[in-house]
Amino acid sequence: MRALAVRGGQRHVAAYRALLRLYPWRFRRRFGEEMLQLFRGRLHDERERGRRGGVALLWVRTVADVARTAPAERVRAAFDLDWRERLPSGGRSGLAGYAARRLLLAVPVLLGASLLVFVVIRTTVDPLGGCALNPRVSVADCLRLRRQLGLDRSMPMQYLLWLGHFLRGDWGRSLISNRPVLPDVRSALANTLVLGLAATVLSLVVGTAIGMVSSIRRYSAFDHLTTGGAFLGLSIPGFWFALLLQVVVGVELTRLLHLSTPILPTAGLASPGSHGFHLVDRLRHLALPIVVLSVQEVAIYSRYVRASMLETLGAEYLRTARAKGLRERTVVTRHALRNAVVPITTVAGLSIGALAGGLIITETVFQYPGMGQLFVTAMRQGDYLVVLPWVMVAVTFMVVLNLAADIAYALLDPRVRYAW
Amino acid sequence: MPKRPPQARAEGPLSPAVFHILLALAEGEKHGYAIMREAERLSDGQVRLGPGTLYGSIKKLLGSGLIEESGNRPDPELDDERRRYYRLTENGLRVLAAETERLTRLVRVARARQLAAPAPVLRFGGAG
Repeated sequence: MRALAVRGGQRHVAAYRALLRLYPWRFRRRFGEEMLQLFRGRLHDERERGRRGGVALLWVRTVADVARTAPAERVRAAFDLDWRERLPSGGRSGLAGYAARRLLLAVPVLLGASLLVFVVIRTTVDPLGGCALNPRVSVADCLRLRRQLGLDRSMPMQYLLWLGHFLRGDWGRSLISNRPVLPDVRSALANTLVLGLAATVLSLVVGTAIGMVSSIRRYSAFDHLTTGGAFLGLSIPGFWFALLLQVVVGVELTRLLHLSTPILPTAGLASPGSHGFHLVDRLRHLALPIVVLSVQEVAIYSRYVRASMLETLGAEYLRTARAKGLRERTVVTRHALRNAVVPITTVAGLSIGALAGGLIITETVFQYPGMGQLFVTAMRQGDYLVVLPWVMVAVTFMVVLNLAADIAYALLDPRVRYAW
Repeated sequence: MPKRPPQARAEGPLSPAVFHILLALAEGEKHGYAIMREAERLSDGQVRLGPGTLYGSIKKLLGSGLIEESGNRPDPELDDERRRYYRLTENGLRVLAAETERLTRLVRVARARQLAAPAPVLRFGGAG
């Protein structure tokens, strides 16, 4: 019976086999042969029944079936949704539950961090310290001001009052400038995100490229040069490099080339006297801070990518890929790099955290109005009503970024999933 | 980590394709083509499972542990060795029973509201 079905239907079966290419390869590898058999069986049924247009009808149904299910399988494969079903729990909690647990753990972290920072800032800096020293302000006025700002209350009370307001969405006003805190933090965050994101993307791209090339051409002149460069980049303190750039670009080069203004501005966000947003002007102001931030990151990424690539390049599946006759470019980019970047996600997650530290220094040196500068200014003035919301925002970002890195890692490496 | 048995997922309504596949496997293990034929027979030709629909559902059912691949073949003499047979797991049976119970309740409500024929006996008599 089945032998009959095979005979005569070759062209139809070949056509269906071609259609099967629309499914993701993993699905095809597992079910392709069975689907072909099923199709053969139906084809045989239609022929045996001998209805007019029966085979045509079968094709209409089959094409509709493929059109409906192939994209669905593609989507599932692309976003790797099937891991849910492989989970021992049946996937009920799975990744979403894991993420929820991690975010819930952020709550004690946020409270602890804000409390710690509050204690440090309230016991070291007196926001009204200048008041008592100022001969033109009477002691009575100072005390009145202290009462007005609520600084005469007990420390736990101050913290709880702030926390209560913050949780209800009231971010309060700065102790020093009396400006509302929320818009200031928001614009500082936006500026910092632009700077941090640009530096991260740039260093990832450049670092990966350098690491790749130096792993392929191991012990070449390029490899030695970039290895040396990376150690130099890692060793240079950010604040010193920032100052060096300011002196070289802002002063020495300008003098050397007899220019009236520096090639690149060395401070601020926009040229003095300019109004509104100018893209070119903004990019010119971003250039030096980005370079300073990227130097260390590029050095880190290039080293990790190089090491990770060297490990993958020696793997047996790469020999298999070459033995299959794949082009060297395909072997390196599709097989080696893909596996090599997996450990890099963890490094990236961590070094984005390290970037936050670099941002504080870089923003201060370049007078860049971002989160770093906001923090330094508020900390120096003892303005805990600005520092505490800052801590909340910064810690939230750290937690979310770390979580994102962990999730990305799990999605990239199927072996990680089972550990949950 | 010790592998826990998959939980029965009986809360959600099953899709028609999945319900027919489970129903077809309830009376014994079958390969894909037989499942398709059985589903067609059970539904009076209403449910025609295309290969993509059938194996997409089989993949999900395998993943959630409602069915499993069976090693032994019912009739090795006549059989094509490339065929794979599937059978219900205990969980699958439980889910099928729960879903049947749910549908029965729904049908009972529909009958009480006189939306469907009052009793199955009439249908057999009437259809002739």
